[in-house]
Order: sequence, then structure tokens, then C-alpha cells
Amino acid sequence: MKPSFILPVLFLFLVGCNGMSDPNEQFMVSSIGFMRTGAKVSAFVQSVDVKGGEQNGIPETFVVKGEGDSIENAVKNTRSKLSKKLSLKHTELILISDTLEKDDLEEILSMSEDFDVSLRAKIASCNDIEKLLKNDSASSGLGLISVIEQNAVSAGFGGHTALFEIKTAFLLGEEFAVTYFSSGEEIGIEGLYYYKNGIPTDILNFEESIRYSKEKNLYKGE
Amino acid sequence: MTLTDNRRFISLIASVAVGDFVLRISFSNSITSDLVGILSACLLSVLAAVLLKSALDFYKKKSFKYKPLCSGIIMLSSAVPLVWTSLSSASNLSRYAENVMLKSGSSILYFISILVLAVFVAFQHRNVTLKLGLVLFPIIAIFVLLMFALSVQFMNLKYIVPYSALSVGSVWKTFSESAVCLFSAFIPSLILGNTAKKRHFAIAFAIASSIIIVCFLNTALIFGAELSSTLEYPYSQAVSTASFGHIFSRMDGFLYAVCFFTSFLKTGVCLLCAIELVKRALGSIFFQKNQLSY
Repeated sequence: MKPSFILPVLFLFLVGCNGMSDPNEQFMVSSIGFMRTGAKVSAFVQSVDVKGGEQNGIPETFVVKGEGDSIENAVKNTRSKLSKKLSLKHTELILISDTLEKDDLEEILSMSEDFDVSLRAKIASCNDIEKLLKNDSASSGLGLISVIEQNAVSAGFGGHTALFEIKTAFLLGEEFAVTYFSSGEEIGIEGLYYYKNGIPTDILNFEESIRYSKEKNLYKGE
Repeated sequence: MTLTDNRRFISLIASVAVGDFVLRISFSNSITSDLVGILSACLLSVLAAVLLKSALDFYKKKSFKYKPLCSGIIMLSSAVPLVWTSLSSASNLSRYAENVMLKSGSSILYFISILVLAVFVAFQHRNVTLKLGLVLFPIIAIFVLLMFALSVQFMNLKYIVPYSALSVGSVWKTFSESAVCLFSAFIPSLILGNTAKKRHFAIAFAIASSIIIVCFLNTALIFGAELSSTLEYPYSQAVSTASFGHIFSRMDGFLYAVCFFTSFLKTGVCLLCAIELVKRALGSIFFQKNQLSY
């Protein structure tokens, strides 16, 4: 190898190896949920075991809870409970409870900058987030995503699902509606949760959801 | 110039013209104004490139003679913006690397690394750089188109249609940003394309303009004006929405490749041309040879 090649190659190695970490050393969050109880905000992070621990062919999922007085502190306290590094880069789903305030929602919407969450991540609403995440056994997070996607085709309605859609609606001061999960034993969708001025206003049943979707051209099925 | 030489020239100049546009692209509150600004800059760059080449061909035919000192000063003056462009491109890339790609590192380390690599490339023969352009540009083009195709599911035409009122300030801002990017490839194209024809110049800038417009539309159609104007790297964020099934949930690697290749080529090529101009200028000034020839 010519000596003139050595220096640039050395530089490349020096730059790329800094701060490297193994995927097994990271807690890869597939879903994250937030709810407020009085002055306390709870964050629930869900991850799948990357080492492949499975029960009956289904990957094992973990749900960890953290609390704080704000969204950011709740996420940071979740981090402190983990022995691994928390990674939100691959988060597919953000669950919000109707107990959250408008400021909480604004903070969640800025997660793409603060915590490197993809703007493509889906947002949905649920009453009992901890129960929903723990019951979600089908490939953690991806099971809930599949329910949202299938619903968009079969049920005949779809809401504003992506983080960037909600952010745009927030910036423009427009209303939006997110998919609303039931908090029963079986995972299912009850309808759409309608937000006006960033405040949860109304749960739309199936018929109302279909009408809303058609009006806003949100239905992406056939 | 052979067919391969033409392809190398077009690929390299198109890469340099795209440059760090994907990192610098910014939006105002009016997509229509931004689109008009970018389209105007693209059209003007193609016309200006052809006109410049025509002017130089005319200069060659007429064999204008400058005093060596004068030609030396002209070449040194041309080298200054090239060095500035090169450093600016490296700086943008290193800042992007610090903010997005490799957050735990320092931008100074990235800047030095990129500069060292660019200087290494700049001191090679120009054919090495031309070949590098031919290898990297198809990758850049394919990745940009691939990311556009994978983002289509999130696009919404309502952000472009209906057209909003034009804002002169926004048109000028976007025009000047795009023009700076595209026009910075003029001097390198004249230095490296001394045997190229006018149509090769036009093709190179037309291809670069197409890539730029695809990047703009990719962002505008997904996020719209309001959200795009709040993001630091809107194209980067737009591409992060692209996915291919559940396995490739984030295609950011392709984006990083595009950003690195385009910015690095711009840095290296501008340095290479600056070095060439300085060599000729010194030859003119100190050895009284008239080196001002394209």
C-alpha cells in the first residue's frame, strides 16, 4: 500500500469509531407512550429483546416506566432506570393519553429534534398506555402499527398518523384526529380522537370517523 | 474529448453544482415563491454556463494577450472564491456530521478530516478526480431518486397546489441560495472542461438542476412550507420518512452517502482548481509566462 494512502485511511478510521456502540448495548425503543396524572408525567418505553428471547415464537418485549414533571424529564428518568443506552432512533409509535396538556403535546412534537425520533413515527391515542404496550405481544410496536395500517384499509377511516402531519397541523393551528386504541384485553381501534387547538376534544365513533376521514381526505384505503 | 471524458466531465460538474445544496436548502412560508426561486436559478445556471463557454471559445479564437502580471492577478482572483467555496462546503458537511451523523464527535475533527482528504484528492492528477466524479455521481443520482420514490407515500400535492401568492423576498432568498450553489461550479467547469463542448456544459448543469429540484420537491411535498421552514435540515428530515418494509425502517445511510459524496466532491474539485490556478498565476507572475489559457 502506498504511504500516501495511509494518512487518509487513518483519518477515516479515527472519525468513524468515536462513540460507537453495539446494538446489544442499546435499549431500542419501538414504542413510547406518555400520560399525565396531576403534576406527574409518565413515560412508557417499549422495546423488543434483540438477542431473540422468544415465547411461543413471539419476541419478548419489555416495558419500562419513568416519571417526571415534564416529558423530557420523564424520558430522562426512564433512561436512568435502564442499564443500556436508550435509543429512540427507531421508534415507530408514539402513544398519547387524553390526560396530556397542550404544552406536553408540543414537547412530544419536538421529540424529533431533542431525541432524534423520526418524523415518520406514528402517533395514536389510548387511555391506558401501560396496559396496551404490555398487551402488545406481536413483534412489539409493529403489532400496533399493523393494526393502524390494516384499519386504514378495512375500517374505512384513517387519521393523521405521522408525527410530521400532527406537527404541521399544530403549526397551522388546525384540528387533527389520531387513531384511538381501546384499553381492553384485545387490541382494537375504537375510532378517532379529535383534537382542536391541540386539546383532545372528542372521541369519534366508527361512523363519525368515516365521515371525518372522507371530509379531510385521510382515508388511504381502497 | 472522448465519450468517456465527456461523461466524466458531466458527472463531476453536476456533482459539484449540486454540492452542499441538500444541506443548505431552506424554505420560506411560501412554497410557490421557493419553487420560482429555485427554477429561475436552475434555468439561469444552464444559460450562463453555455454563455460563459461561448465567451471563452471566442477568447480562444481571438487569442487575446494579457500581460503576464495581469493574467496572474486574474487567476489569483479566481482562486480566492474557489478556496472559500471549498472551505464553506467542508464546514457545512462537518457541521451536519456533528449535528446529525456523528453526534458524539467534534465538528473540527470532521472538518480537518474532510479537508485532508480533499487536499489529497486535489494534489492528484485531474483525471483521478474526473474518474471519481464518474463513479460517485450515478450513485448520488440513484440514491436521490430512490429516496424520492420511497417517500411518495407521504407526499401531498396540497402543499404545492393551489399556488400561494409570490413573495419577492422569498423568491430572491431561494434564488440566491440556489444560484450560489450552482454558480460555484462555473470556474471548475471552465478549468476542467477546456475541450468540452457547450452542450456538455448545458447537460451538466441541467442534470444538477434536476437533482436539486427533486430534492426540493421531496421536502416540499412531504412537509409543506410551514414545517419545512422550522427544520434545520429539511431534506434530511424528509428523507428520514422513507422506509422499505419493516427491515429498512430508516434509509438515512443513503442520505449520508449523498451528502458526503456531493460536499466532498465540491470541496476537492474547488481545491484542485484553486491549486491549478495558483500554479499558473505564480508561473505568470514570477516566470513572466502568460498562463491565462483555458
